[in-house]
Amino acid sequence: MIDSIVMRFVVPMTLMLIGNLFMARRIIYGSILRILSFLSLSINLWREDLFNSMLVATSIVIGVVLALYTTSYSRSKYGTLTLVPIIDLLLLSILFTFISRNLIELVTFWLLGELLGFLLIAYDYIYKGDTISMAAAIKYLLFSMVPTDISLFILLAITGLTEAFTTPLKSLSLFITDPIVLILILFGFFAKAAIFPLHFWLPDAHSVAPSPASAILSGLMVKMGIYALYMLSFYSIDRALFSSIVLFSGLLTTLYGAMQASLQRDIKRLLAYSTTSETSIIAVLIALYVMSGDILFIEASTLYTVAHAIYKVSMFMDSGFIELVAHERDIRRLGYIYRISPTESLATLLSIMAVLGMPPSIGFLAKVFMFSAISHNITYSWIYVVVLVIAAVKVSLSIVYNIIYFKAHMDRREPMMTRLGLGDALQLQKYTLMISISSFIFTFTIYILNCMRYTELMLLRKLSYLLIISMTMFVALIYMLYNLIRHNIRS
Amino acid sequence: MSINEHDKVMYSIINYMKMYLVAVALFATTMGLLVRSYVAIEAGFKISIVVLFTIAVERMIYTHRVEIVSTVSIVSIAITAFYFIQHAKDFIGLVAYVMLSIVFLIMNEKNGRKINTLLDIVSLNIMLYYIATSLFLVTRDSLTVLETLTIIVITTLFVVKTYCIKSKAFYKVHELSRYLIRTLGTNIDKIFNTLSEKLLKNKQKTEAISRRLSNSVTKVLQNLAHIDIPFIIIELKTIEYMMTISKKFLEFEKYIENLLIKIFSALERIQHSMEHSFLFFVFLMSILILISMIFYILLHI
Repeated sequence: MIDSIVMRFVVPMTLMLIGNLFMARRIIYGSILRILSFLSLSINLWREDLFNSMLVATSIVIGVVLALYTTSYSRSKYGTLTLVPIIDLLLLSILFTFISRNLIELVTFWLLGELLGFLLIAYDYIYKGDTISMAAAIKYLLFSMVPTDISLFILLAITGLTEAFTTPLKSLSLFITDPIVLILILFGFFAKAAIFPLHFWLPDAHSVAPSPASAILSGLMVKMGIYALYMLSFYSIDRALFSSIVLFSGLLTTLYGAMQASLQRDIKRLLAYSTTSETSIIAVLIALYVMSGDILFIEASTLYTVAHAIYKVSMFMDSGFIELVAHERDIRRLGYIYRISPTESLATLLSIMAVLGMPPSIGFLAKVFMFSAISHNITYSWIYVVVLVIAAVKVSLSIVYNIIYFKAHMDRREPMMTRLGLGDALQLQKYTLMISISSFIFTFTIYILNCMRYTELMLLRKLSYLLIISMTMFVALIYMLYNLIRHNIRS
Repeated sequence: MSINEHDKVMYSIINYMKMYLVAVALFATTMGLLVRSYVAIEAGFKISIVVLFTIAVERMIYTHRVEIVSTVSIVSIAITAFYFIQHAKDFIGLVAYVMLSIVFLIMNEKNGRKINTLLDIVSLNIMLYYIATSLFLVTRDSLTVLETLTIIVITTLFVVKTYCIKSKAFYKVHELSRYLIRTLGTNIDKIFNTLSEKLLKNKQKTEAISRRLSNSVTKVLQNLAHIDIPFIIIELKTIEYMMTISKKFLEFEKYIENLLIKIFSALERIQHSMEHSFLFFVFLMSILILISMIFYILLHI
């Protein structure tokens, strides 16, 4: 019943379509139906694969929050709700890609997602004739869509149509023995995950798209490339070649992306460059898993994927808020957002601190798992030492670029009242706060699941007392912060 | 709400968060040491890095690239060394620890710069976790007494150096040590004199030996009582030396910064040309594939 196509694809799609029809007249009913369409996909959560389950769970949470955010954003920025159905469709197609059982389902929804991504990047061109958006969309088409599609079609050709329709994804008898074929496939997925040498489309594409679209592209769509790399690890491939290429390109992009992010002064470009860096480090973790077979690397990459997805979505939501409120993206001319909305600044601060490793967030778990995995294997090969050094530099650079980003919020500048466009924009702050806090709720859920039935994430057991204490203290902290803000709003 | 009130709210938020983080970090490290869990100490170390972020946000730093380069290098070294020490056994671990302490020591000597306070706090946080880790390593891997003592001495020196160098406490430590040496010296001298007098009464032969011994001990103790003078000279020389190294570091940082800017502009150019060449490559490849397909079809007709 749960596995049927009707339950997996038809029900959510129908709910979403009806919801969007309702949006024109009754926004509340429409929003409820749209949220239900994402929630109905939670039946796919109970799968044996940790990576997949976590991706689906994250996408559902992001989907629910973005469904609400996009309504307010679209109305504030464009005055209409035309952005909403495209965003919903993109979210659903990404979710369908992650819940696909066989290769043909995966390829179909992957392609659908890519096309919708193209439409969203070019949205400002469609809406108001902005040529920069179109240029970025074409760049995305050429350097992300085309290479990825080539990889998918190679996989489809190797598998054969019968098997592609019937065999579950993990059980495919794929033998990628030719090194050239493997390199071609890898480069295609590198293009999706924005890893060197096909990384350069991302900063342009993610910085020109509307903020909810940037959030999905940066938070979830690049993870499709990571998911594909993860799936490749199950097939018969030259493991040494796979890990060497991914390690080389991944480590290079990790450093390059983080350094470029530290030098950016446009909030969206900064976030886009940081995405290339973060995605690459996740790919490196997968390469290390393929190289060593240590399951801790997969667990680390899973947690890092979730942490980064939530972080990036909340940050792009925040950039959308800043754009709407200040009509400005240059950090040097911002620095007063905390004076307009302390709640938004608090949400951003929480997101940044979560990804940097504030307990009990999912980012904290990701960092502990990542460094533990590397240090467990450090004595076996010099490669782990190199990865450790680069990961350390990346962490320090991430502190730097996050502080630079936060200067847009807090730099003791006076707001330019004449340029402020508050209106509906202030509605958005609560959604950013919701997604920021979800990073902490995720840890709580994972911990409970780990205690109940999951056999994975064994390292969590060693952190039990720390998690319990930090969760309790965090609840107290949130209560205090809530009281502080509420008291000030009243006064 | 006025602008000042907003400022207060934001600073209160940051302070609350900082308090929370410090509390959790301390809890994690303490528990890690008590239950001998390395993961918990690691967690404490991670949290200390987030504390660094909150401090930086509060002080609104990072306006200059030099500051970025400094902080990045310190944090990177700290993280790498933390995990390296975890696995390095005996001598290598000790050498790494000493090297790391020296690096932090030099970095801390960069007086008169804007980031000095931040660096102090970073060092403070990170050092606390190094001490915890070292202690943990000592108890876990049963290092030799000599190594344990070396670690403790270096740590103590570092802590004294970091926290007391610019305060009165450092000079008070000097005064205290001088007082202790004088008191100890006088007492030992008295004991020796009394002992020699007693011996003189009983045995004439031992008179010369005891007097000689007493004189030599007195001399040594007199020297010891004035040990603070060369100690202060060494201290001043060290400070001078450290300041010179600090200047060198500054020059080195500027050099690295310029180098990075050059590399970045080169990378930008490469990226730009890559975009075009890749497009050209795709175009050529598609033509090649098309021609091969035509040939294949023609040959198989």
